[in-house]
Amino acid sequence: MDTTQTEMIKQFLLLFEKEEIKISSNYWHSSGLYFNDICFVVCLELKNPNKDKPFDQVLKSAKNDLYELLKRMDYLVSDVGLMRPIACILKKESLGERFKEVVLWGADQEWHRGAFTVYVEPDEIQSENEHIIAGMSWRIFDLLVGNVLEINPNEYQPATNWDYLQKIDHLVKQNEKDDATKYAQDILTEIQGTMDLEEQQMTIDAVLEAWRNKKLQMIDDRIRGN
Amino acid sequence: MAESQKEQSNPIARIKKMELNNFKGFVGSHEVNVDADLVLLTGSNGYGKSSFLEALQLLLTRWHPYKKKSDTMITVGKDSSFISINNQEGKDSFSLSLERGKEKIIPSNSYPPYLLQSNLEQKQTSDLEARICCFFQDRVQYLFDEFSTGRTLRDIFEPVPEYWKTFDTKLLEIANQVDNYINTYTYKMAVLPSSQDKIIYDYKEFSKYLRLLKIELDKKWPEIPETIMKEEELAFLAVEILQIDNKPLHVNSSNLIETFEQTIIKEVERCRNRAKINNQEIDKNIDLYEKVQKKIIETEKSLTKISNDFPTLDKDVHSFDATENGQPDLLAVFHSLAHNSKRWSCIQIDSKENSRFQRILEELAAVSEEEARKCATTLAVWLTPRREAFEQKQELEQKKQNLENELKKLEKSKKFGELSKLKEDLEKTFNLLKKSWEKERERLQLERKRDTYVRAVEELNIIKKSLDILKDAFEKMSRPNEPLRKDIEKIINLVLGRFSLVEGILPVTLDCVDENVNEEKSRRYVIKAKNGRAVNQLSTGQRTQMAVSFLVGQNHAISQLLPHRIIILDDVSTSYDLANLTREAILWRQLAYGEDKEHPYLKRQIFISSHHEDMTNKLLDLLAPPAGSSMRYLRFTDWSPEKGPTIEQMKILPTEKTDGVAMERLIRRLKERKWSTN
Repeated sequence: MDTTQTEMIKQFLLLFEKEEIKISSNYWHSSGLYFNDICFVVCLELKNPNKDKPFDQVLKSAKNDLYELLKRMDYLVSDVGLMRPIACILKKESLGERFKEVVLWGADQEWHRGAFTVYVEPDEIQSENEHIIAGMSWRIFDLLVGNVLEINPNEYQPATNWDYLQKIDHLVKQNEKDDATKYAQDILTEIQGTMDLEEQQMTIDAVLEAWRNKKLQMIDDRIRGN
Repeated sequence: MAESQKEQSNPIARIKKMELNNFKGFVGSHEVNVDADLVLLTGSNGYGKSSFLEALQLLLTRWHPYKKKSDTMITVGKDSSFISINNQEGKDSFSLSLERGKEKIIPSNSYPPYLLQSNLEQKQTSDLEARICCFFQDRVQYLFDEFSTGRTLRDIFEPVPEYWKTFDTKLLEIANQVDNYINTYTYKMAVLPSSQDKIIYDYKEFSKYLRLLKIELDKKWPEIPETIMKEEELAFLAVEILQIDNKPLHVNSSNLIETFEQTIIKEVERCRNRAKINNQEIDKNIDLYEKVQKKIIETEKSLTKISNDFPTLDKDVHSFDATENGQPDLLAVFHSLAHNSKRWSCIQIDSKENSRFQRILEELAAVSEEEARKCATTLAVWLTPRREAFEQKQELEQKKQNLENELKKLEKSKKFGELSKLKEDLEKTFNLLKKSWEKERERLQLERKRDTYVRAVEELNIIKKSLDILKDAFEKMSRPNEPLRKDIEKIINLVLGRFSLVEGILPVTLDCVDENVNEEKSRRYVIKAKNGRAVNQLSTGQRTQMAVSFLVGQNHAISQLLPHRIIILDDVSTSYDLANLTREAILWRQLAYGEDKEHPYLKRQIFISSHHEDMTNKLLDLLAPPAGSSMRYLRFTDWSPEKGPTIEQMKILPTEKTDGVAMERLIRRLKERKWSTN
């Protein structure tokens, strides 16, 4: 991760921890703020709802409130000259058993009109990435930096002709030591013989055909009494 | 792989400029500045955005979707086409030309290397290179391994070496051949039932007809035995018969049975020829013979009846005849007297003669006409049926005579038919007998060789087992690399996890499937949603998200092997709803603007096209570059057949500076809490 960006994120975290910056509304309060060149991530928790009010109404009001809050964030960020997508992460635990309804807000285009994006995430998912900033959840890291997995080509070196020969030979030897195993090893020996000849290499089909012909001829001779 | 890695030591990270000349709708020469981290192409449909990206795809991957019709990419009415790109340093240029009528694409000397150097040069049809970096909305499904017609990601990391590729199919082919041998020899070594009973039965049938022939012959054949148990006994009989025919053959003569058969047939033919009248009427005459025979019997019956009715007919019918010819019989006399005696008695004769006639006249006068009539009637009642019967008898006797003459003629053709039938029966039964003996001989021969076949089958089974051992070993050796599969599955789920998807999609699973494509085994990954749905069962939007995730996932997965770091996305936003647009934009920002000093090869130059005005405006906001990054905006405003597309080329500047002032301002505003809703 680029140091400047890491510093940018750290700076925000520090300010947040010192409570110098904090976001709060009637229904939501922030549990984290993150910012870099990629996006602006706002982590929110639902405030303890008023028990006298039906939860349906709480959720409805909280949804409206969230829209207002995030639109203001969007305005604020662009107003200072920083054009960034706004991503909001709602703490799943704060939403109780009805978190699934809130998950659907993210897909409600009529509501957010593409002005921001909303994820509902549990607290416990921590990034496996070693470059993670302490305490940052998997999703936050994925949004700000991107959890990129690459396959190290050195770990998956393709097998060569010889690798195949040796490994097949090894597997063949694990069989019972009978005539069939001996024949299988004979074939591998024939293959090895042609693989030694680099320039005039027979195809594997030709090697197998030659071996087959030799064996069938032997049987045929026996039947004819030769 | 080593050569590939060497080639990829300096992959193309940034394209600065692109030139298109008579490529598809790009009539004439067009130079486009694309020197930015992210290039956004917008404009109405048909203005050339996709053609621009296709040219880029062709230059980077040498793949195009027109198969053998590369002519399709040359501007209508032009003979050739030329496209080129300049990379980051501005000194290396990659270009290629297309010529009408020639399938081959002519690249310049320097060219982006192939991902799979050795394989792909032989397999120009491989679309892997394109699938790993280019998204085209109208070819979404081809982004998946399972619909690919060429190489797959597994061919990069776990390819079966070219030399070994046909090993298992050849083993299978040989195993099938060995199976055929085993089946043949198993049949031969089987204990076959004896044909002795059949031989006895067949000989009985044959001998029956042989005896019939013997009756017809004018030479003396030996006694035909009732039963024969051994082939030698038939040989002895044949020798005896042939000796009579002056053909001295020995029981062991190779042509004994053949000669015997020929002789029998010759003999029956000889008999038949004797009875021959008219070959063509044989069948007809045989029928006629029977009919004539029937008629004779019927005639004889009628004659017998007459004879029974009138035992003395011949005497009776002539009893009252006149003794001399020309004289009337008695019945005529009676009739004549009954009609004329009175008239005659009154006849006046000359006086001189009177005395002579007096006596006659008196006699005639004495005749009673009435009595004469009664006598005539009485005699007629007795005589008429006898005369009729006599007449009928004469007719019947004549008819019988005629029929008997006819029968004599026909008797000869009936014989012909009978002998023809005998010939057929002899041939048929002798053939059956020969076959039964042949089968028995084969059985005895097989019995003698049985042990040899048993040993051959044992040997073949060992060969087959050895082939199975090799096939099992090869199968184990070629099994999918499970950690690799898991890694790629994880990567795809990681990218897909960013999007807003309905339940039942995540996590997707990746199965390894081996299929034969174009007569070659293809090792593929097949994606399935969590609920088991296959790619083609998903909605268009879901499929697009899946395709983009697969593309980005694969592209990142093989970052260190890529010959370039360019990602092309044609109309990728069309299938997205607004909920995913922001998420998608974050992904493209990471690829284009993200900086990771430890993994610089993870950065990409992104080309995105969009034809939807609202979507484009939204994307412009979402993709606006941060300080230090760059974006170019190519607005395709028009297209004409004479000049091709009109492109407004713009550089989108970051709204912030690198001095951090904007950032400080944001922090200040946040601290001031001027944003608060409560």
